[in-house]
Amino acid sequence: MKYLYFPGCSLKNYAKRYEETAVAVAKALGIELIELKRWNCCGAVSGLAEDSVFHHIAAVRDLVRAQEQLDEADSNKLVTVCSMCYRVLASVNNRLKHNPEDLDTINEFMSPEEYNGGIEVVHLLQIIKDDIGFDRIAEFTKKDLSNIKVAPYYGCVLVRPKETAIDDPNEPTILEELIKSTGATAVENPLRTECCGSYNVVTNRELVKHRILNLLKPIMRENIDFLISVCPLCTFNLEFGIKANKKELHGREIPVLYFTEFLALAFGLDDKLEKEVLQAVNI
Amino acid sequence: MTVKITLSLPKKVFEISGENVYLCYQCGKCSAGCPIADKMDYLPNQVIHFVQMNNEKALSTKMIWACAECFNCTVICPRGLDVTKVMEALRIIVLRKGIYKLDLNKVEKIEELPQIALIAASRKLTG
Repeated sequence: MKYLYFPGCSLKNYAKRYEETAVAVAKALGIELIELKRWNCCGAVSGLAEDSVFHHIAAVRDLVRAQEQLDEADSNKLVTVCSMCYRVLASVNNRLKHNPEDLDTINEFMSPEEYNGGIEVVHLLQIIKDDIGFDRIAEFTKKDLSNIKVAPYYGCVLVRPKETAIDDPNEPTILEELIKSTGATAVENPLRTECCGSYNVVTNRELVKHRILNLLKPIMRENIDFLISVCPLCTFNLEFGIKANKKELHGREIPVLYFTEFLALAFGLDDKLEKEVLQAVNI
Repeated sequence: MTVKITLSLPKKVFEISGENVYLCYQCGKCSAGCPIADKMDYLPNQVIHFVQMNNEKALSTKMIWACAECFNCTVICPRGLDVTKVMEALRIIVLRKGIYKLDLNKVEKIEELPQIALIAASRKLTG
């Protein structure tokens, strides 16, 4: 299956490992991700004002780029990997589909380019769950992960608000199902959908430090091997918070892996990562 | 349902966000679920109360600027008030006056921060 793919800024920079493993894992599962020929920053966060569409322009341009390349793919789904890109593109797309007036305003601004509302924005996790199936994950898993304990961390953007949620906003299970399908154990993580502090890391690092400590406290008693994240900003904040709270966490430096890194490990696709992570936990 | 709101602040919030703050009956669930409430000056339900009372103090609370739109309050509100959207509307009232809450020149160790955080903060804290 061929899908159009929107990477976003983070995946080309400090979250390169997220993109590399996403593409490799997708390929192993028979998915070809066709990167949009031209794309721009989605905006990272979308505007919530009802009286303005100003904050949506960047995202709509990306949707137009996808529209232009639709004939190269097998579906109208635009795949995102970064969860913040997912929510911005999906929420803007939703709004324009449900508010023809807003779509007209934006199209007038962008003329002669025009978005027709024909793209469906999805996250790679949804493709894996709905189009591939978790049973196939089990088939592709080469490593014995039965001794591995993993704590899933969703953050906010994939599960809230309801309109763009890829799973239940309060009790999501998609990451747990994914982890279990590899044979690893998914540790119960009660605060897995709580905010990491997000962009407060720019203005108030203390707040983010405090947030991460609170998030980790309930799972510190579990002997987890690593955390699984879906978002470049959550990962940044988690890694920052784990270092900043070294004393409070008694020196425990829990690795934070993107879900695609975890799958790459399970499928035996990443030797470097394997050395760094799996050998450390004696697999 | 036609909503008739006459006081200036609730009206402005309604015009920007489409949210009627009088839906709130002050149960405090938004504050119970807010992940940063313990570090704030006022709780989300108190901010909503300021708006209900047409009190512009709502616009100078730390709460509205630290809210990073996790939508927990929105999801758990038993009255269906989109609290996150109200927070955004309050920020927008200030930002549209040309008052910004972020100066990138003053961010310490900015080179350590990922662009996703800088872009998000710039979009939410400046106009």
